[in-house]
Amino acid sequence: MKKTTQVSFIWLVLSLGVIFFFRWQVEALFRWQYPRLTQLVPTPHFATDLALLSQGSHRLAADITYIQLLQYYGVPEQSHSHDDHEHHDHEHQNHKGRKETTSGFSNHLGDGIYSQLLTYGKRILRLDPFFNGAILEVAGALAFNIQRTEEARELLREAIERDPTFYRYRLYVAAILFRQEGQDRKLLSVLEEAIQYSDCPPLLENILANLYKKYGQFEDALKVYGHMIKTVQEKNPRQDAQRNLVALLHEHPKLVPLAERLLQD
Amino acid sequence: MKAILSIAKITLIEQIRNRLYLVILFFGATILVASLLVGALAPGYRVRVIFDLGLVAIEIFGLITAVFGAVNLVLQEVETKTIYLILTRPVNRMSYLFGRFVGLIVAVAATMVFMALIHILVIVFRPYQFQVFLERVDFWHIYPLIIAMSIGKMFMTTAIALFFSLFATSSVSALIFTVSFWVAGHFGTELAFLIDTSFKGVAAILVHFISWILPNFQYFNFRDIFSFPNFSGYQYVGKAWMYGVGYASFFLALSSFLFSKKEF
Repeated sequence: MKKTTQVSFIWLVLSLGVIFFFRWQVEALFRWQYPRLTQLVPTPHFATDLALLSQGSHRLAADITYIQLLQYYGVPEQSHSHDDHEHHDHEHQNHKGRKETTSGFSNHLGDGIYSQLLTYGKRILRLDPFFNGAILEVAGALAFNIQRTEEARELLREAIERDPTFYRYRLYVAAILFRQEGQDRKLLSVLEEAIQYSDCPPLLENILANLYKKYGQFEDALKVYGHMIKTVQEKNPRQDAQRNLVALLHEHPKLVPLAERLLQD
Repeated sequence: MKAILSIAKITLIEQIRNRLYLVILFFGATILVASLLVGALAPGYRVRVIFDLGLVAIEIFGLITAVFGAVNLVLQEVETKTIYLILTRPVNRMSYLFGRFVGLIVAVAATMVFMALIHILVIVFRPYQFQVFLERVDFWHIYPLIIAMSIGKMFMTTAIALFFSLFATSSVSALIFTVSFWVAGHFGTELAFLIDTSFKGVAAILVHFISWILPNFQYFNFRDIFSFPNFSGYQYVGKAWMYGVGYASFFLALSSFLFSKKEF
């Protein structure tokens, strides 16, 4: 055997030893927490999801799904297909107690059936179960905007299973239950806690402000709108908060000094 | 050693002269345009999306640089016969190959670091959103680690590409083999799961042993796994890197063996 061949052979054996030893060591510490490929949600975007996962990009795949979700949910549903009708009927039969606001479509953002909303939520959840903010947004929209609380709870149940450390999911479940049972006072305290977090969706802040107004706590409602104007990054909800604040000040002019103080801080 | 360093230096200079600055420029333009688009598309998660998109782009651009560099490195010199000029000097084939590998990996790592600097600038440029992002991500600790681990992936991939460039008959087939390894390496945990569920006893051990020949890039995939609750990556960074070194070394040994037998 030539010298170079011998050196290569020894080198190979040593390398194999290093590979197996350190792989065994890393394997003992490595904890994979993303769902298996078999658990991915089959949608027309499945190939895109798989292509991104083949590059080890769970987070980016979830980001892209989130953008697709915004495009889907951010556009008013002008018309709906036969499938949507079928899906809607099915949902109606299965989820008793669902509010009847989904029977027609309007041109307002967020109004409509949005039959794929849960699918988008699950897709994000199974691509990146730790994209908590996006999952909360979908659950919030399902529960409070289009009144599909059963779907919201289904999504949150799976989210809690996949990431039990994120206790804010439980907060949302509580908020949904209180809302369902009409226990506004309890809902109020849950929402007050929820808005303390920077990833609280504007939708929940709006619900809180409306509840405050319902119970005559106009100063608190004003503070919520002030908080939204300062912290919400999306343009539309921020503008809505500005409009609501102006309307509130028209109705209660004595709140103007407080509003000025709040917005100056 | 001196020969290895000289060849590494020449390789690095060649790479810089060839296309590296173009890769960095293209990356910069891509990430800037993407950040503007993303700003309009996902306003609530602007920094998160730029962060994820940038890290994937750094890795993909790094991969392109590494794979094309490695595949063409020796093949081109053999085809143009310039390799004779080097091998007729007192430089053995192993030193030549090792020098080429070191030069290329330094060039790839430098490119990735430059891209990372541009990426950080684009992220930090949004102070308010960046502050919100910092509440959830320990950015200044995790970012260098993510880049270091991505370079680890390139280290392994470059060695694999170099081997296939000597083993395969054309640069296209070498590229296909390398990219297949890259993809398979990202499904390492899935493969282990499939083996566990499909095989039992001795068969499982045997198949596991064979599957360990494939790289597991998920150990290095910190850009994806850093957000796990109770993330344990800090505990095995060194061990994962040693695994990467062992893996690259294995393929370099194979390349060295093939190269020593090659007739020009």
